[in-house]
Amino acid sequence: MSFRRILVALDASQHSLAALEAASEMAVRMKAELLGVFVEDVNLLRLAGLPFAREVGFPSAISRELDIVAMDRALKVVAAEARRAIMIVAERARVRWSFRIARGSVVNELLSAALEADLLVLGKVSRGFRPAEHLGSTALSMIARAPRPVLILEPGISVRAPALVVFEGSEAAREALSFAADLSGRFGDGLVVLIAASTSESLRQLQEKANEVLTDRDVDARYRSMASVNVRALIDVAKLEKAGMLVLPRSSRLIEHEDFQRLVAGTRCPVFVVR
Amino acid sequence: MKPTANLKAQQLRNRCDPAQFKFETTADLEDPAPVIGQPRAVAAVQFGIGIRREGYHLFAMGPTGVGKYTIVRRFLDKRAAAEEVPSDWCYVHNFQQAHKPHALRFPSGQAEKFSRDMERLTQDLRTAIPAAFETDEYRARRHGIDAEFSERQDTALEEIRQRAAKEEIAMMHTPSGGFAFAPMRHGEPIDPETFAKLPEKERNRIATLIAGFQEELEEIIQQIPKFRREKQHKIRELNRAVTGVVVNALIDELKKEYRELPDVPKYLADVQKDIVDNAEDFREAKEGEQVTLFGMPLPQAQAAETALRRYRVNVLIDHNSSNGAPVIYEDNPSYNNLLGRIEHLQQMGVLVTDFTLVKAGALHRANGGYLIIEALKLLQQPFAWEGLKRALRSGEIRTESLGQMLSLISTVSLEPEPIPLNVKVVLVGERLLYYLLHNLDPDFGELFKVVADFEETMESDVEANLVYAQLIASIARKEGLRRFDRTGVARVIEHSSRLAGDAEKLSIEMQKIADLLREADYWAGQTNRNTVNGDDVQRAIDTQQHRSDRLRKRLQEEVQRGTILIDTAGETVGQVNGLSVFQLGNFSFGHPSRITARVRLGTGKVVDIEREVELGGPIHSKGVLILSGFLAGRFVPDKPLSVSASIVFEQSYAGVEGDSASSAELYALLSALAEVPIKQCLAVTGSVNQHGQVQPIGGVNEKIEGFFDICKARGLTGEHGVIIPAANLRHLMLRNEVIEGVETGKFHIYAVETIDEGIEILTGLSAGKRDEMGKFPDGSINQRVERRLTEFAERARAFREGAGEVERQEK
Repeated sequence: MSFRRILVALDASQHSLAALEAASEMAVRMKAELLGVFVEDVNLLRLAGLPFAREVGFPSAISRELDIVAMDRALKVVAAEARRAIMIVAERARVRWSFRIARGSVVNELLSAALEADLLVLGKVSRGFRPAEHLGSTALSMIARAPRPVLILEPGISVRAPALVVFEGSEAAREALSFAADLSGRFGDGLVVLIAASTSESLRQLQEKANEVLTDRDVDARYRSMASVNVRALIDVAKLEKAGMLVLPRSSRLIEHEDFQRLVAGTRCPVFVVR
Repeated sequence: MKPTANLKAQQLRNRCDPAQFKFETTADLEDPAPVIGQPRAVAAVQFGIGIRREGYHLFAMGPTGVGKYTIVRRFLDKRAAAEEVPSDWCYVHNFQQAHKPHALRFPSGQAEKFSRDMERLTQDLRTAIPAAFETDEYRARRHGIDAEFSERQDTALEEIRQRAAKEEIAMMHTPSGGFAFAPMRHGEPIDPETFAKLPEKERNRIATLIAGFQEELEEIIQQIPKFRREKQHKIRELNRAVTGVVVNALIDELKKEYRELPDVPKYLADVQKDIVDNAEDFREAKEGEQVTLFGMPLPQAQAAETALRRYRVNVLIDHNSSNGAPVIYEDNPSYNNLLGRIEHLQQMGVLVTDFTLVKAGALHRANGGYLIIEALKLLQQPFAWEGLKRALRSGEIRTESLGQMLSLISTVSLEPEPIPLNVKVVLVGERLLYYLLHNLDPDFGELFKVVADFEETMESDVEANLVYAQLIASIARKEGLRRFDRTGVARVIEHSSRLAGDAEKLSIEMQKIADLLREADYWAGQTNRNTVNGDDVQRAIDTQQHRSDRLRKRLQEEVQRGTILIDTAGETVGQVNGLSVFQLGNFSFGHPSRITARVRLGTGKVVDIEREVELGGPIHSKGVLILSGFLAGRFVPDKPLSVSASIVFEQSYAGVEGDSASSAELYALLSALAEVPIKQCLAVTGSVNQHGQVQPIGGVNEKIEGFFDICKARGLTGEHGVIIPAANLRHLMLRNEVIEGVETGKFHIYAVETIDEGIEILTGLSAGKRDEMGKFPDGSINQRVERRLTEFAERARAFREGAGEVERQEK
């Protein structure tokens, strides 16, 4: 698998800047280029058009009237900020980059932009007040629907080896394993394959399957197994193995809403979701 | 002339016979008793040191060089060694009022230990406190608080979001970081056109709902700062609890160790509380975090130092290595050196100070013991005397800068807690200073109640001479001089008598004697001898004199050249050689002056020309007025004194003071009245009273030698001599040359008791006594004087009558 372009969704929030840093790091490792996208949320423009539209400042608690012109201007300001951010990060890392402003629904615009890229990097939440463990709605939609692998991470966390990948034998799992092997090749320092198998027979089979994927790849893989993979167990393994990133197939039940949030918060690892 | 009047050679000097000494050289002698010849002063010093009452400080007075300091110091050292070592003192930070540092008292030697203990405490805390914050327990609790806060905030927002969602209203995030509410249809915000098409009722409902949510949201957001404060408070409490455990363990150890000392546990409690309150200071700044002061970057080590300075201990006084009570001599008793000073540090161009910059003064060091100060030096230092008095009166040392005391400056300064003062001060100085202070400063008498008056002389006899010889021996040993043999010692003792100006006394101005010994040693060295003998001492005396001799030589030269008119031969009426003494620094010498008197008919007034031109001092004028008294009392008692006389010191262009020339003036006056010439080969000194008795004067040796030198230069004839008061006999310590002159009959010294004796020697005529008839014998001086005065009186009466006649005729 080759990476040519990494898409990063920017909105100049702290989370998106963390995503930008991680994307830049990935771009350096993968010798890919960065594509920054800022979406002017059409919903905001609609809201601003309503006669009673007001915004309550945070944390000033001052209430202001909204109108379309002001909203438009505010979005332009954020877009400019986002552009400056990617410029600074990319030039510092000496990575080729481009930046695009789209207007429409955030999820739709990102999905269509994702078609042009090989990896989508997202902050855990966009601007928000959500409790620390929550994922933003945009992030959740992207994980569910993105045509490309998605990388989710929270601020202060960088991508590093070794990768921990969950393998239960499905097609998506093979993809994920292959993807993780690629990453490990770039980052070095091995790969941890966690096999979910309730019997030793199925374990053996799954291990063979995984070995098939990994043959011809110069990866130093270690195997771990457990009867059933749940969030708590995965967090423990990640800590034990000092995992630097987590690779999950989208087919995994672990990316279900609540579990996924707990996983991201608990492992404090960047999480790749591979379709 | 009385047979006793013409003095014999042996009367001219109290010879110190080397034969009286049993020793060969001073090497055979032991050291003398520590103090010689000062019984009164020693008793006073012992009393002054012994008495422990307020105001009983000591003033040791006496001339320079009699060993005041040495003696006082010796007694103080002896007594102090047996006394207990006083307390140590520290200044520590005052956590309530930073500008008033606390003073802490420690048993001697413990202050330094306490300072080290505190230093170690801060070092320990610098590792222990950061370690406490690194524990998993702390981290978990800290995250818990953070999470609790964000949860509270988020839950509140989430709750309103969900309620809004039920009403199909979305709470949206705006690009500027705020929140806005939008009505939803089919999961998307309504666009404005659709909204406009809604029935008015519906539109109003939505608007009202949204307005309500907005209001609620505002309220919630307004709560957030309060949440945050609560969070900060909780974090602080957590920090306090975590540091508290560490600090308590370390400080309790110290508290236990110092629990006996009065203020220390309280101070440690303050430290404990302060450390817990400011635990952040002990946590090293994080990498890359720049510490600043007034916005200027500081090196990290310095920043930590600055913050932790307040836990230091400023050991002001440490008696760790002391034995007994301190005896301090303050050589430079300035205000700051006595009372301590507060130094300042320059920091970013601003002067700052704190308790660590309080420095001890002499009073701190001497506290619990003794302080010796030279009075003159003390008085020369601005405000030092005032400062010392204030400290002694109040019984405490209050350190403040002069600028502060005078309210002159307003830089940041300190008011350190005063330290109780218990000290015995010994001032050392000249007598004049003592009397001046006593007169001019009412406080002085109250504070310095004991005076030790040091003598400059001691009695001279065989026993005393031996003690003196021992003293010479001890000085020679101490100074590393050659041994003095008997002749050398004897000559030094003689010179000591001469310095005392008294044949029966010895000078104990040891400084001068020591100088003489050193110089005699030098001269012995010049002639390559191992012992110092009388010749070396004599040479030392001569060269000492020669070095300061220029002015005397010039005066003698002018006399020889005739510029200064002094006759040493022949006879003249109304003219006599008086003798005066010049004092130049350490050196004094005598020199003759011509005194003349002229008389004429007048109203009984003796005019002192010196006084008329204000060249004569009051004592001189008094002497001259006594002359009138003498004349009026002795001659023509029944007639008015009708003489007018004028008396002058010829060729004297500077002031004349003293009455030592009054007998000479009287001789000149008598000679002028009697019209009998006076032998110019003689010179005269002595004062006179109204009865014609001759009274002693000072500097008799110098005066005799001064005239002798002039006569010798002109050639001694055997006629030359000096008339001195008989009472001065015991002061004679003349130099060898003069004594030899008298021995060979070439020079004479006459001691007289009355004016009559003197005038007989000067004129060769008898003075004459009144017979039963009240008449003086014919041809006697007194008879001639009376005749002349009677003549004046008669003539005066004739004048008055004649004047009356003329008046009557005119009428």
